[in-house]
Amino acid sequence: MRTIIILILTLCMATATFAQTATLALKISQKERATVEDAVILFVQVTKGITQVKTEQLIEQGLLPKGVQADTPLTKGILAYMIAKQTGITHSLMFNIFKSKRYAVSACIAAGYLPPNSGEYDPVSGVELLEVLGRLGGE
Amino acid sequence: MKFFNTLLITVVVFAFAASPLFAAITVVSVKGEALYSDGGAFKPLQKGQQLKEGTRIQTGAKSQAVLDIDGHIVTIKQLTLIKVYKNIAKKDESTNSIGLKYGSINAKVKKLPQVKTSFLITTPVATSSVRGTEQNVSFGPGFGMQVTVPEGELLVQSNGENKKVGGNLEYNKGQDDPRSGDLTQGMQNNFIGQMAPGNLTPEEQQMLNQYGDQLVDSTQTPADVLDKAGGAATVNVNLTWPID
Repeated sequence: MRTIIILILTLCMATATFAQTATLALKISQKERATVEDAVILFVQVTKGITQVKTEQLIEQGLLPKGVQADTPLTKGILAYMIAKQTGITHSLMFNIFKSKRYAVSACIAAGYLPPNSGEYDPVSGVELLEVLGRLGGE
Repeated sequence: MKFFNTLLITVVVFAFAASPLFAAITVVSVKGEALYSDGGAFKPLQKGQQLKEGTRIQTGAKSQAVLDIDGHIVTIKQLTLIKVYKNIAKKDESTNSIGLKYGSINAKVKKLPQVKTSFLITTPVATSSVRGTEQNVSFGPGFGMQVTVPEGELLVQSNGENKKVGGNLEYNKGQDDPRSGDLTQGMQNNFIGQMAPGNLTPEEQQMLNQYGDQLVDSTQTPADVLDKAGGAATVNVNLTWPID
């Protein structure tokens, strides 16, 4: 009986969290400026299928640049750093050595995730975030 | 009674057979999560559901929805928002128009005999017109509109500029660009990446795999490279045909 209840609760929770992905995408698409939290939540959904993650955990693991908070406005540098660190792309020799946001942007441009004219401090809108992550997890 | 039932079934069958086309948008499958809105709030999209003209569809992360629009198959990839603007089907005409706000879709458009087919995919920068072929279209503020055509060819129109896309050609037009980019750009990049891999030593191959993109700046065009070249140089080229 206990197992059945746990199973039902787990299924309900899975359905509830899964239903958030499209709603979240709609919500983010309306933002003129995405935040680090938006990027982190959507990124783990796209790459790992995980729906619950805390920004602080990723900062502790060194997967986000130091000094950023969940509500920090997202820049292409921060987004590229997260992508380059998490996916382990080897498209930039300089990023492999220095691990900086600037070279992460170069690595992501070379990998085709960011457009060629991207800069480290460029702001990222909600739709731009969806575009980049759509390419990242695209089939 | 049996005769009446047979007659009724025959009448219904003939009624549908007489008009081979009727506007219909059916959800073939939903993987992950997708939402739709026919004017009101967004609701979960279900397999087998019938949709109306004017419906908007949003897919989530790691999700995909497949629609059957009058026999044409449209696959909506993850994190994409589309709107079905037009869905008209008559006996000798099939007209469909899809607006792609952001994300990417794949459309397989059937060429029906004796039916004038028009299937348009519109983004904020251009419209692609496809008949009897397959196309991948993506749009976003960073990369603009990108169109590839795995099978057949199509016409992309923007600001009075018409480009025929097919084969290995790729249409690219940024949001603020007055004109589309070079259609062969994608092909050139592929050729650079695949240049003579058979003639490389294992060390060179390893170097290329690891730092290949450092050797060729992806923001450079062939014209940029030529502009910087000065003086004469001897280049040995070993062409192998056909390529394995």
